[in-house]
Amino acid sequence: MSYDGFSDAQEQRDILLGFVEEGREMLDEVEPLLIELEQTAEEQGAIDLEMVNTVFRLFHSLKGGAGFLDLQTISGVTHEAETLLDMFRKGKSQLTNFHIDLMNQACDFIRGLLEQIETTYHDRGREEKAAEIIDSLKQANLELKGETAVIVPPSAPSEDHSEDVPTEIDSSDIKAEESSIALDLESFQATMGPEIIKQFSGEAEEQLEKAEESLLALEQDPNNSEHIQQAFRAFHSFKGNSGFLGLRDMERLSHSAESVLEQFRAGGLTPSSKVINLILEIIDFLRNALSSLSSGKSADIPATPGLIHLLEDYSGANVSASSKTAPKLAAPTSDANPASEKLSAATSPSDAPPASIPGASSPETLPPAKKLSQPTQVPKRTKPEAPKREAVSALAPGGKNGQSKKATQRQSVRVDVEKLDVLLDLVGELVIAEAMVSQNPDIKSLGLPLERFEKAVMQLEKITRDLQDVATSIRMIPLSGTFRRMVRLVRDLSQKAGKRVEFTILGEETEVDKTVIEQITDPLIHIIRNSIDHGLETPDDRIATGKEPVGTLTLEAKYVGGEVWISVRDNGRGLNRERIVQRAMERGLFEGDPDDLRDDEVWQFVFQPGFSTAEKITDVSGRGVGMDVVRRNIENIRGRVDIRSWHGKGSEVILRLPLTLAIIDGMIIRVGKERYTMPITAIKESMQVRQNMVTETMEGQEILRIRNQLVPVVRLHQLFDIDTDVQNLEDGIITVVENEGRQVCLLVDELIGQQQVVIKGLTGFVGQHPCVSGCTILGDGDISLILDIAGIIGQSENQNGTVNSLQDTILETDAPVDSRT
Amino acid sequence: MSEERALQEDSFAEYEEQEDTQEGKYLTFRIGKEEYGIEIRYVTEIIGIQKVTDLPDTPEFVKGVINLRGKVIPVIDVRIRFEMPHRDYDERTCIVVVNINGTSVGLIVDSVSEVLDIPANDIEAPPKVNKGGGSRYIQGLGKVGESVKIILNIHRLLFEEELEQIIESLD
Repeated sequence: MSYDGFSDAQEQRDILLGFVEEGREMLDEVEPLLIELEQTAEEQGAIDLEMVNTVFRLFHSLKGGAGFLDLQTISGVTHEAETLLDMFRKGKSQLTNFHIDLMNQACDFIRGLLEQIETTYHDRGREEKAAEIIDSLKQANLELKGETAVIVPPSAPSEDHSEDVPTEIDSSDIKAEESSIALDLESFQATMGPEIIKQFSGEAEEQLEKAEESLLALEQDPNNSEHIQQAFRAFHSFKGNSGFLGLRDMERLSHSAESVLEQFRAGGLTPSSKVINLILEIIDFLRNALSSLSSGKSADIPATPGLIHLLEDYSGANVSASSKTAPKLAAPTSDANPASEKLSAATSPSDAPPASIPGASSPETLPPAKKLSQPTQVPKRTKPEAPKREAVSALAPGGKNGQSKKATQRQSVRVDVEKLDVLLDLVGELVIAEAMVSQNPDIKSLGLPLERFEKAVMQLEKITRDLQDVATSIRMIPLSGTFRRMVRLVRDLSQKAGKRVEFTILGEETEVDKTVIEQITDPLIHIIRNSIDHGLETPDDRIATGKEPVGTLTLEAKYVGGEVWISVRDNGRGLNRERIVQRAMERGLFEGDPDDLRDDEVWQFVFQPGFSTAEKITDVSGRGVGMDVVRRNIENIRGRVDIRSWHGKGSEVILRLPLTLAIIDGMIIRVGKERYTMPITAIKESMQVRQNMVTETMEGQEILRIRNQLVPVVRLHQLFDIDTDVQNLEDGIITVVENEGRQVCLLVDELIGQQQVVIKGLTGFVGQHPCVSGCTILGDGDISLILDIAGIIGQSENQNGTVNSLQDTILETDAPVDSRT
Repeated sequence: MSEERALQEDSFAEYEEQEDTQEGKYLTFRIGKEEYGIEIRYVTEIIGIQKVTDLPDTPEFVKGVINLRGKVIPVIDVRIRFEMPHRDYDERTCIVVVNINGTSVGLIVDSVSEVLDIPANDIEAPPKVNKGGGSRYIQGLGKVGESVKIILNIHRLLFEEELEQIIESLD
């Protein structure tokens, strides 16, 4: 290869990649617009011409770029989409969901091609699929134009693809296409790199989540074609992606699910809970396959044939018939609208067995015997599910509240988390460097007037601060993803437990650090499971105690001060104080008069490891199953767990989380020559002490009497073995710190001041230190260790039995120290 | 993406090239009256002694942590690691920053000398005698002209703590 040739090829690749990037941006812009168009068309019966124009322009420039680069498949598809849009632009035709769907399909397809271009630098190999899309777009076009429209197609530039495919596709042709696609897919699979898999599974995960959410909403509201569309689209893109990567089982499963949805959509089949349940099952299978794929294992789903068979059985549809073909697509064009109109016209109370409707409106042929089995399923499901409807439909996008949906739609970029971490690190360094410059002693020693310099520094400081805020906020993501996953959990659990639960989600837009989100999913599942299993009563029990038969469960997130509170609230029976106290005494966690205990002290017992697992108490009082795990997870991210309970009326578990993990409010203190940082949240108070407040035990343990409490003293200089002049308690500062209700007094030389510090971990080389949780770099470049208050308290208790026993006897309020060290 | 990839390939090629040219090169430094060498590919930079923040409850030779342009890295005092008598740091004292499998560690040495080519056949196996102290960190003895440089096994120098403890407990 000559050098010149090489550089030419390189140049060509760069241009292609540039196009891919641009194309993606355009698609990102088009997709939300399409959805918005769909909504306005549905609600107002008219469309915003401005919006159509924008979409048109975007498709047009995409076509232009693709044509220039000789990407014929893309330019062919975009051309057809453009032609279709033109119809609406001229105001001649009515835009329907079906058209939007077609264009969404086109977008998905183009997206897939762009991805392919990234690795192969061409868009060939998927002509059949392209022809299929082009064909259905054309079909739609023709229908809109009426019979006179036969003239339209010839102007298309890339007709060479569509020529391969006759307008009337017979099934043998389809088979042939199928197999050639399969061949191509296999060759793709060979080139499937980890990068692609990562991207694929990220997207696929989202698609499955979307599908699940829509299905759940559909179950509540079987007449709402919007949900069907959503689920259909999600499955469709999933199918497209997995097909592209040659993941046959995933493709086949999602295809069969898609086909069933297609039938729902066309009105040929009623969304019964049985079928929906099965599709949800399939989602689970797909999820598992995805996760095994991301961990480098095979994504095969051995159960595929069985699942498809089941789906066929349930739906009476021939879902295994290979890929969605043009005739199938074309069928809904004529039927979808009347059908869905009929469906909504027939708005019976949505809980009524919907099986009566398809009989009237179903245009497709359905074995009637299969249909008969549905009504028996329906009542079974509606009982526990019905109460959830309100909350769920509020959740499901595309409902009546189009406004709120627009608000949450945003453009986003996928960025590697590592890059974000580097960015945060750099910003942290910038903050330090900025301080090093502005407070540089050299400048002060010049003895010059510094007015202009100081102005410049102030400007720099402001920008640095803003930059830091923005950088931190990048890592923040809304809780909605995590919260929505719980809808399914609540549904499944309440069904299993035979309880009726109305599940409400509030504040899902609340944003928290990505790491926080990763850490709270398991605790949330634990807590919700507890609430449904143990907190909420069965309908009969509830009626017996004079409550509504339907229990409520609320998942709420909100900002409180510098924290995010996530609470799980139910109106069940609450925690059983007597039983918890009794168990605590049995287990030797507590001695004395239980009446002295405050409620919140009693609730603390349930956090003891193994406190109630597999013991009878769980059946009575609930809570405790894995609550120690919950607390540990939450403490790992420097959060806390609070429990509130009202006997017979309900309970609430609150996770109190920091907004971010990267920065804490710290108090800088000095001991000898060293400066340490204490988390402000751990500090209760600081004071100077007088001699008469101090008591010294025989072992030399000093105890301070602070008002009515007796608190042991830990001398930091002794703990860390530092030389200091401050040897008397009266000469230094006493800082009272607290962790989980246990307190110690720390003796320090001086409080230097409060500031926000960027946390840096200590490298693994020096290992974990019980009293140090990390370190930070101060304004002058020096390193300050961050004290781990829980560790210091644990350490002091371990080293000195006195502290331990003293605390037990003096404070008498706390559960004895657990094994925390 | 291809740009990135090309870049990576480039830097990889460069890296390989460096690997080649780095073969047989050693950074030598002085502790006491002897000169020691470590393979140059581990060395990322050499800085003067700077303020070391003490870490409580670490082995004596772990002096603490330093701020290396915003990165916090631990430093170990090679003298103490070799169980040699303490010597005050002066302006010739250096911190040699090495990176092993992504872990950066600073080594405090009396002074840095030079980078030397020592061909593999000029390096002899360490003596079999075990006098304790630092002798188990020796990877080989390099003959350079009249002098002998002690070539260190950096992995053992940094990570052999556990093994050491086991050996001690066996004794």
